[in-house]
Amino acid sequence: MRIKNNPNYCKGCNICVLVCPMKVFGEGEELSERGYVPPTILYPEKCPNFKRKTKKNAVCEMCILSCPDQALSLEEEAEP
Amino acid sequence: MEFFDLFREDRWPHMFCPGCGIGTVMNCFHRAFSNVGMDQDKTVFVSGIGCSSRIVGYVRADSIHTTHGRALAVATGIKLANPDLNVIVFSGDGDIGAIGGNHFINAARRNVDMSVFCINNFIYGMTGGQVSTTTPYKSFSTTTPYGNKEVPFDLSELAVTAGANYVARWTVRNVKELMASMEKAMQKKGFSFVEIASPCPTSFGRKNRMAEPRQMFEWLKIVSVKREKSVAWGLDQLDLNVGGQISVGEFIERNRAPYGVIA
Amino acid sequence: MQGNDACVEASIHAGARFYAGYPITPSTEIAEGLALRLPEEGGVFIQMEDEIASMSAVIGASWAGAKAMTATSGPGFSLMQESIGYASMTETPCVIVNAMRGGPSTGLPTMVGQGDVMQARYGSHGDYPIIALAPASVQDMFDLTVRAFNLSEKYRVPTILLSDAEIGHMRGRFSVAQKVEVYDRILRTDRVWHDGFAYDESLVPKFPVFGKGSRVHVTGLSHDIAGYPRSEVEVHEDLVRRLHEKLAIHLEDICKIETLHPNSKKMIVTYGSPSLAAREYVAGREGVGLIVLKTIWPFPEDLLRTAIEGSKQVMVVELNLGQVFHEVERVAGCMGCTNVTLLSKVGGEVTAPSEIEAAFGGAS
Repeated sequence: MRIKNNPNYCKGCNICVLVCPMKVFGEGEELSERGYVPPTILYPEKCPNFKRKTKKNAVCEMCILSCPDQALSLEEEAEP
Repeated sequence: MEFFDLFREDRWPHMFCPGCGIGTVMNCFHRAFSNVGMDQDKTVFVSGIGCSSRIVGYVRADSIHTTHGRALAVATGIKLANPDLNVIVFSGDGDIGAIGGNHFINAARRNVDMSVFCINNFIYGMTGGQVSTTTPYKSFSTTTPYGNKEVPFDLSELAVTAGANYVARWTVRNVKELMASMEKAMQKKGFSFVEIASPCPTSFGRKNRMAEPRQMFEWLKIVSVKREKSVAWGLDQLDLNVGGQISVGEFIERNRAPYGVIA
Repeated sequence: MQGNDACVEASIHAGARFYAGYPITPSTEIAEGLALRLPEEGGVFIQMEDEIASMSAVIGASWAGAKAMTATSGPGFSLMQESIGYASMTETPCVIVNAMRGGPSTGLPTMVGQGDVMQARYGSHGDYPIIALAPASVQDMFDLTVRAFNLSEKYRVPTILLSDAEIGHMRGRFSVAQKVEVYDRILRTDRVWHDGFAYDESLVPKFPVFGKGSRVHVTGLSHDIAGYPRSEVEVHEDLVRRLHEKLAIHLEDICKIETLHPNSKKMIVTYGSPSLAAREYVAGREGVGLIVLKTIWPFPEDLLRTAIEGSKQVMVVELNLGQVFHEVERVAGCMGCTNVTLLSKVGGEVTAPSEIEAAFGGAS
C-alpha cells in the first residue's frame, strides 16, 4: 500500500513530516489549488505499510492518526 | 467503520485551522468509537461553544450544539430523560473550565453516566485568542498582552476531586494512549473525563512564538510528563506554570455509583 | 389546593415527565410537588445547581423526547433568558413557569408583582417568538398549565406561564375534566439527512427526537433546513421570519381573552391577580366592562380591538409601572381611542376594588 495525500483536504500543516518515525514526508514546495503547500511524499517505500497489502493489516498509522485534516490515507494496490 | 461512516463527508474539508489538534482528536475518537461498538443511532453528541464544540456538527449522529458553558447541563437532561441514550460531550477549556465550571463540577459530583472529552488548547481560539482559565502563567494572549497574571486550573484534578469515575489527560502526541482512554471512558459507567492538550497554532501558538503547527506539536511533547514520574517528583498538583510541565496519564479510575443507580 | 399545586397536577395530566429546577420563592411549591409526583408517574425530577442549568437540562430532556418544564421567579427568570432564546431558536417545546414577584432585583421575594411581562417577550436577545399565558385563578393554573404544554408541543416554541405570587399561593377549588385534552409533538423518525428542520404549510417542522436514528444536528447558530450552521443573509432572513410566521398564522388558536360586558363605555384590561379585584368592581355595575388577558404574548390585538370597539375609556390595571399598558395604548390608539389610563401599583400588594373605583373618579 502507498501513503496518499488528498490535496482537497490537506492544509499543509506538516504535522506528518514531524511525526513519521521513518521520515517518509518532507516539506512541499508547490502551492495547491486551495492555496496551501502540501508536503511531498519523499520516500513512500520507507513506510512500514509499503509491503503490506490491505488496510486491515496496516501497522504504524501515526501520520493518518495525527493528520488534522483527514488528508492522508493508504491506497491499496489495485488487483492486476 | 470507516471515518466517514461516523462523520459527515458532505461537510469536508472542515473549518479547523491548519495544524489544529481537533482534527487529530476526531481521528482518535473515530477509532475508539468503532472499537467500543456503541450504537451510533442511540448516541447523542453534546457541545457548548468554541472550536472544540464544532466537532458535534461534523459527527453523523444526533447532536446538539448548545449555549456557552451549558453542555453538561443539557447532557444531564438528555441522559436523565432517556437513560437508553449514550451521551458524549465534546467541549473546550473555556466551555468547561470557565463559564461552565459550575456545571462541570456538579455533573462530576452527580456522576451522571456520560463521556466528556475536553479539548484544552489553553486559549479561547474561536473568538481570536483571549486568555482562558487554563492558559499557562505568563503566557501571552490578546487579553493578556503583558503576560497572564493568573495561575491556570488543572481540569483533570478538578474532575477527580469533584467525583468523576474515570479521569485521564493526554496530548495529541499520545494518539495510542488517547484512543485507549477514550475507549475506556465510553465503556465506563458514570462520569468519564478525558482532557486532551491540543495545539492552537493560530491563537496560542502565534502569541507565544509557536506560530508554525509543528512547533506547538513539538512543544506539547516536550512539556508533557508521564503522570507516574510527575507524582514521584511531587508535581502531581502542578501544571504548566511550574517548571513548565503538564502531567499526562490516567488520574483515577473508580466505581462510584452513577447518578440514579443505588450502589 | 394552592395555585402552585394545581400547576403540579396539571403538568402531570399534560404528560410532563421531566422537571429540572432551582428553588425560588414563590414558585418552590411547584418543584416540591413535582419532586413527589414525578417519580410516582415514572418521570424524572432533578434539582440543578442553578437556574441556567435547570433551563439547559429542560432543553436536553425535551430533545430526548420528554415533555419538560421548570419553574422560577424574577431573578431566576433573568438567568434563564439565554437558554429560553436558544429553545426558541431551536424550536424546542418546553414550559417555563414564572411566578412573578415584586422587583426589580431581589425585590420582594414573598410578595406579588407583575414586572416581568415585557421580559417574558423580550428578555432574550435577538428577534425570537414566544408564547406567554397569564393564569388569573387556581382553575386557570390548572387549565393554562395544560394549555401551555399543548401550545408548546404544537408550535415547538417555549411557553411561559406568567403567574404571580398571589395566584401561585392562593387556595381554591378547581375541577379537572374527565378527559384532559393533551397535544403531543408530531414526531419524525426517518433519517433526516438534509432536512431535519423541513416544514410544511403549518411552518412547524416535525420533531426528529433523539435516539431514533434521525441523526439530526441542532444548533443555536443560524441554520438551514438541514440544521447545519449557515451564515448567508437569505438563509437567516428565512429562518427568523419563519419562526415568527409560525405563530403569526396561528394566532386564533394561541390568543385567548375573557370578556365581561365587552364594548362598554369604560373598559378595564387586566391579567393575573388584579383581575380578582376587577371582577369584584365590575360585578353589578353598569357601563363598565372587563377584559382579562389569558394570553399576553403574542399580544391578542385582534381580540382586544373587537372588545373595546366603541369604548370611550380603557383602563389598564397592572402591578407594574406600565407594561401591558403600552400594548393596549398602541392598539387603542390605532382605533382612535386615546383615553387609555393606567392604574399601577408596585408596592407588593394586589390592587383593591376601591382603588379601581377611585381611579375611575369615584363615580360608579
